[in-house]
Amino acid sequence: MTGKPLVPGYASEAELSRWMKDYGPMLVGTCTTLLGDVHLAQDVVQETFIRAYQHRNRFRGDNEASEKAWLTRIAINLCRDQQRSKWFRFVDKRVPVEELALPMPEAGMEAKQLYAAVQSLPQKYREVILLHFYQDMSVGEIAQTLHIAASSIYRRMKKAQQLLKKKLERWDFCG
Amino acid sequence: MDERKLRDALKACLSEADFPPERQQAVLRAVRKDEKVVKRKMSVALVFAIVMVLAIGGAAIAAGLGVFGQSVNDQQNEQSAVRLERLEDASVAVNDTQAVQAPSAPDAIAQPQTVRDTMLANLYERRFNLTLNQSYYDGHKLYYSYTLTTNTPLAWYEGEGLPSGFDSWDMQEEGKYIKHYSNANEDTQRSIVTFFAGHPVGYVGKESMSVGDGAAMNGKPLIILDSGETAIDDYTIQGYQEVEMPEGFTPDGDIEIELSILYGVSVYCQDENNVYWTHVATPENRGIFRLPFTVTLNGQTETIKGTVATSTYSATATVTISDVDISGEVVFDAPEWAAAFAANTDGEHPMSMPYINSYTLVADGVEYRNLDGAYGVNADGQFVVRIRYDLPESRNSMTLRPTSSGIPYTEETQQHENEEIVLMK
Repeated sequence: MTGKPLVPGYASEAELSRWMKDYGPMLVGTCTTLLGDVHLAQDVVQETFIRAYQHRNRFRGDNEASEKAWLTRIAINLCRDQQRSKWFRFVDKRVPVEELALPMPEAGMEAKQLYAAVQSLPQKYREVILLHFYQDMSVGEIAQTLHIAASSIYRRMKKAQQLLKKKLERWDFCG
Repeated sequence: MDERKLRDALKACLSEADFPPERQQAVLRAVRKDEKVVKRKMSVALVFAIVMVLAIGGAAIAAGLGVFGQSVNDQQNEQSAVRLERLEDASVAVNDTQAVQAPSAPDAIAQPQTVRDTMLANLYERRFNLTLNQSYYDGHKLYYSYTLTTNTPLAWYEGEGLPSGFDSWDMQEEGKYIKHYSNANEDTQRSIVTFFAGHPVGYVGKESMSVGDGAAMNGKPLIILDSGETAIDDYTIQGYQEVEMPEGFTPDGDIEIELSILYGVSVYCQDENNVYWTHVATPENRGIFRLPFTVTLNGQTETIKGTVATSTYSATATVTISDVDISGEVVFDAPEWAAAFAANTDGEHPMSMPYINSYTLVADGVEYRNLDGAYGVNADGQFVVRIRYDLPESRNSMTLRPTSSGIPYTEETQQHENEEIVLMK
């Protein structure tokens, strides 16, 4: 019984529980920054694990890094789907806009300004910044996650940092 | 750009990001629900109702069955069909209709000059009737069915080139729309993809309306457990939702709940290089109406318990029987299972000992499959299995039979130990 998939080709519940424990918070952080809504982010991460469970046999990696990349890719794709179809799904959060953000008790004013600048970046730059600086992925891992050439990741990273610098200068931030 | 500062800022700002236990439980429940199930037998009453509907036409639907009963026929509600049948009988007719009208259009919109203004002008003309058709409320859970209608069919916009009046987009990506095809909503997505296949530079706008997920009580959302929604025609939808009362809530007669209507236009377009998405809503209310309704305590529940003690573990089952289903949990005195579960989720090692993660209900000899399927460790550190079953026709004797043994195999224990839990009033 232990670790046995419920349906052939699916993951086991033990594996699913470990994914949720190991990667759940990090994926919620990533999706919250991409979607600007922590509740929606949790919806997306929930769906990420269900999809991963159902499509375990599509995962070809054999180490922790590729497992993380695979789950992150599913989550990012679902965030993109969510943004393009959110008005088809009509999820009413019933909470004021200010409650959509994560509480940030450990962050100072400077960190919050920097985070706001990241949030204001176009999505493709936000993704590479999050994967590199929040998820600690290497350029190779980001390329694997986003299915984009490493040279493009370098270019996006450089452009993202230029945009951030420009935004922070405008906000009079000494970074 | 100070990279260390950026890294530290992101980690500090996202340090509270969490995927909470209730979300993890929801995932486990969902994957269990996805298991292949044996098709249920329909009751004679339901078969008769369906035959009658087919025989005498659609007009009889509204006359013969309420929304709960009609929802049984929607294939997407298959997993909930037996419960919906019960609800059709156990619920009370409410038929409370609330009418709302979109805010008045600003002068600039009244004479639209752009595509966006045309969409907004139409939204400002919207009127909605939301009817709470039926409700069943037993103090623990609330089920309600609804019908939402609007004054004119929902609009579909399309045209060549980029639509005028849009200064910014919620989303912009490189490529063509067809590359971004998603299965999220197949009918609509197919229509959009078909349009863009013949219009490389153009736009589509799809006006939509819906009832928000779950009711609210005293400004707080009630956790939604199940829902279904069906489009009846271009300006009518109907559906049902099941929500759970907050933990510790004491039922005390009628309750006031709030349902919401959401409406707006999703706009999709593409040019030579990019695809774009945005939504249009009346800014005064962000495309949301919240409407109060009263529901009456009309259901009743009975709680029964059962215990079992074996050489390896002991367990107590607490089960609530309502007019529509049976649900509850089995709590185990088995510290090693709880510890192994925690170690398993920590990734240390899999649960290697025999343990129980589900029960079949046997009611007067008939077996019922567990529809919940979550298991784990509760706030008191005890191993727990959640259970939920369709309501048996006959339930003079009820027993929970584990789907696997929690006792290590030895010839002696396998022959002599009984792990079934007999439920007693």
